[in-house]
Amino acid sequence: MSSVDLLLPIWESYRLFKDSSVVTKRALKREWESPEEQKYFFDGTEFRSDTMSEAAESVDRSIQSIEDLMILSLYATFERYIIECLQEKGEAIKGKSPEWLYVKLYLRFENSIERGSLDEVFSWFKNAKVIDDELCESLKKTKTYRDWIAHRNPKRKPQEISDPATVYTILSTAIEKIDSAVNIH
Amino acid sequence: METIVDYEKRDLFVERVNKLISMMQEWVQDTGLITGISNIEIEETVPGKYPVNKLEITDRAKIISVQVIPVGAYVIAAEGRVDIKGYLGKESVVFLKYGGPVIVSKVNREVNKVSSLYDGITTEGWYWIEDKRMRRAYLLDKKIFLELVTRVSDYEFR
Repeated sequence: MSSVDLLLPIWESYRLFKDSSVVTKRALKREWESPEEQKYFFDGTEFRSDTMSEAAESVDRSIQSIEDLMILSLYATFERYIIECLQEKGEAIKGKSPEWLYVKLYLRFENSIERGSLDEVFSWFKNAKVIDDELCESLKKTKTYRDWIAHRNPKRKPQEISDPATVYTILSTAIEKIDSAVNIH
Repeated sequence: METIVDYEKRDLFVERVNKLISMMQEWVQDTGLITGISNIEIEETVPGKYPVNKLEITDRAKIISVQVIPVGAYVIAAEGRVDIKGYLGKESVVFLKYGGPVIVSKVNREVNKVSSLYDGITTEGWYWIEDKRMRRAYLLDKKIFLELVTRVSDYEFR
């Protein structure tokens, strides 16, 4: 499996959700042959007893929430990819002698990668020409936007907004670039 | 100390939105649909609040209603975004400069490969990013715009 594929299940679930919301909205707008038919269709769902416009509004609210969750999920997967990719590379120091020292050094390294700032890592990739300035900037802005969704800190409101499609494109492009640069044999 | 805000990007976005709305009005002219322009206010972190035009497209029976709503000049990886919203959902178009966002690969400090974040950016303009294949961008024209109207509203052009 290519590393870019890591994002695919999230992306495809989102697409399916979006398509399902289209089908739901068509069903809400449809002129039913009989009230029984309509009742059968919506029976046992959250839509029952809603007016058509209330139901449509709740679908819209869900889409907005899912889009935010989608960005969080895509970014979390990307973040895990970067951390694991760097930790795997760092394992090279593990077998060195004296073992007691390198084991401790590795633990410190592993901890620092796990807790460190990804902005710094993006800059490493930029300085090594793995990604260009524009992609590096897009990654940093995406992280800022992700933080805004997660914490809604009014003091850290991002300058620029984004959406799941843009985030998916930026993160999958970055994974492609990083993968081909760090996995040189 | 007074903060100096660069309003150039905002003004350019408003100008581009107005041109886009004019084009959209032309594109639906022979379809029997009716267009109307109204004013809304956008609030963005940098320039703050500012007015901008939005477009509404309806049919005579008012069965469909499609709103073309400017979102903002400050969007990641583009120079502005406009959403086309109908009862079925929304599609977004973004303004991309020639070549679009670019990824430069270098080997030994020499440029090895220049590739766009999106394929298909042949000129500066409004693009629809097809979301299934992600990297493919389509310059917005009449055909694509009418297809987007159908996507968000189920309205069938005959």
